[in-house]
Amino acid sequence: MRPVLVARFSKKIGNFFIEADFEMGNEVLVLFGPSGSGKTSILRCLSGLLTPDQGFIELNGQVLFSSDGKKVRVNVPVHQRRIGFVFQDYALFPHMTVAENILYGCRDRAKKQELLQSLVEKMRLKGLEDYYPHQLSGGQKQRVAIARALAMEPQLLLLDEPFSALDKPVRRKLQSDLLKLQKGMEIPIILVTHDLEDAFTMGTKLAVVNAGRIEQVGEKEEILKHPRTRAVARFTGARNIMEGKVLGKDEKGIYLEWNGLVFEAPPHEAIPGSTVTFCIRPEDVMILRPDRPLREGIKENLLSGIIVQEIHRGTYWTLFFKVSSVETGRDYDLEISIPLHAHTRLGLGAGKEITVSLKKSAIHIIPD
Amino acid sequence: MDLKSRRIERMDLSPLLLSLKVAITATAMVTISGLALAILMVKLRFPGKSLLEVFLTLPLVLPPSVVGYYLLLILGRNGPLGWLNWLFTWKAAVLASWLVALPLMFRSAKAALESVDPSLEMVARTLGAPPWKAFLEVTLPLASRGIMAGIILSFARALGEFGATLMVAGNIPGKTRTIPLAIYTAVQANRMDLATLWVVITVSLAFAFILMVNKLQPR
Repeated sequence: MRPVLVARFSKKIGNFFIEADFEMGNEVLVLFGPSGSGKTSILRCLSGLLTPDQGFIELNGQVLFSSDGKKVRVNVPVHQRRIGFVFQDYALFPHMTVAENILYGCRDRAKKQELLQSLVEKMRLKGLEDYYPHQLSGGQKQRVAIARALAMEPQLLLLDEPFSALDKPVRRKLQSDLLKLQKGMEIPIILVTHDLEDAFTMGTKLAVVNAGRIEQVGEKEEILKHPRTRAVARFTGARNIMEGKVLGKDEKGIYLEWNGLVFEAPPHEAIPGSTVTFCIRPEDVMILRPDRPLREGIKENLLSGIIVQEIHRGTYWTLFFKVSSVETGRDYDLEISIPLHAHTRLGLGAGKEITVSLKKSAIHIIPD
Repeated sequence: MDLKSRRIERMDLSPLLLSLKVAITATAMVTISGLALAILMVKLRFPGKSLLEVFLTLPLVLPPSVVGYYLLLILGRNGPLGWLNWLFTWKAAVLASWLVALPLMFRSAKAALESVDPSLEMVARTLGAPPWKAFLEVTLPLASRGIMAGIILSFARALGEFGATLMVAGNIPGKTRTIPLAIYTAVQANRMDLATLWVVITVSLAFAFILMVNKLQPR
C-alpha cells in the first residue's frame, strides 16, 4: 500500500535539531515523548508554519515541501496545504461565536448550514452555536477546535496535546469521540502527547520522540516489547534497564551475566564477550507463589530477595525489589507492577521475602 | 454684565473650527501612517528596525519647539519641502500635529497588535486564509480597541498642539490661530475671560476623550 504521508526532514532551531523520518497511511500516529522533545515543532514543519532546512514532505501524492538544503524547490504555503491543526491551547477566535469559529475554514459556502449541523452533532455542541469561546468549558473549547479543523475537510489532521488540559472523565469522553470520528474519516491523524496512557489509547502506531529526533516508529505492542534505544525503553515504562555481559549462546537463547548471576534471554545476534543493555517491563516480572510447584516458563531466571518499598498506585501496586544474593550498591534492583488482587492474595508488603522470575521471553536486548 | 455679553457675542469662533479641521486632518493621517508603521514593525524584520523605532518615538520625548525647529528647516524656503509653500498656513499646523501625535498612534497600535496571540493567526492560515486575510480577519479586529484608543489619544494630542504649531504655522487670526494659540494670545492681551472660556472648552473635550479611551481599555 502506498503511504498517504511521507515525511523526511530536518530543521535546526537554535542549537536544537529536529529530525523526522516516517511514513503513514490513513491511521492514527501518536508522537510520543517528554515535554520539550520537539514534538510540536515536527507538527509545525508538517503544516508549513515552520520551514524545514532540508527534506521532503508528500501528502496524497502531492509534494508539499522539497529542499536539498541549499535551494527550496517546493514549499506550498500554509493556507494551501489543507492540513488541520488543533493547537494545544485551542486558539479559538475570541471575537467569533462557536458557529463562526467552526465555519471559518469552510470552503463550500452553499453547504455551510448543512456542514455546521453535522459537525455540531458529531462533536456534541448542539445549542452552543451562538456562544463565545470565553463562555465554554475546556472540553467544549477543544471540541470546537476539532470541529473547526474538520470543517475545511483536511487531508491530514494534527492534534497538539489535545488532552493535556482536560480532567480524566472529559479526557476519556473526548478520546472515544476522536476514535469514533477517525473510523468515519479516511485521513491520517497525527496526535502529540507526553502521556503514555493517552498514547496507547489513541494510537495504532507510535513514534517515540527524544531530543528532537524520532527514535522509533512502529506498532505500539512492538515498541513496548522491543524498544530500540534506551530513551524509548525509558519513556515507554520499561522501568528495569540493566547492563550485562554476553556469556554465550545456543539455539535456545543467549546467556547474560548480571552481577554474577546468569539470565537466559531469547536468541539474539549479540557477540559473546560484549556488553549489552537489556530491559524488562515491571509487569513482566513474575512473583512466584511459594505454595505452588514451578510451572514451565516461569522457572527461568529466578531471583530471591526482599521488597524494600511499595507504592499503591490506585489500580495496581509498584514494588521495589532488592536481590539478596548480590550487592549492587543500589537501593533496589527491580521495579515490579502487580495488580491489586494478586498483591492481596500473595500477602505482599514491604520487608517480605519473595522469589521472582524474569520471564525469558520478556527480556529484551536494546540494540542501540 | 452688559459689557461681558457684548464681548462674548463678538467672540471669534474660528479657533475652534480651525482646531477641529487641523486635528481631524492630522488624526486621519496619523491613523493611516501610524498603523502602517506598527504593522511593518510587528510583521517584518529588517536592518535598522530598532533605530527606526527610536526615531518614531523621539517626537514624544522632545520639546515641541525642537520638533518645530526641524519642521521649520524642512518646510523653509531652502528646505527639501520648501517648494510646497506651506509655512505659516494651516497645512503646516497639520504637519506639526501629525508629527507629535505619530508616536502615540504608532506605540498604541504596535502594543495592540502584539497583544494578540500569534497562534490565532497561525490557525487561521492552516484553515485556508492567506496571511493578509488572516491578519485582517483575526489580528486586526482583536487589536481594534487598542488601535481606537491610539486614535483618540492622537486626536487629543493634535488638538492641544501648541509649540511646534506656533513655530511653523504662526499665530495668524482666522488662518492658523488654533485654540491653544487663542488661549495664549488672550492671556497676553489680558483677556482672562476669553482665555477661561477656551480653557473650559479644551478641558471638557480632553475629559471626554480620556473617558472614551478608558472605556476602550480591555478590562
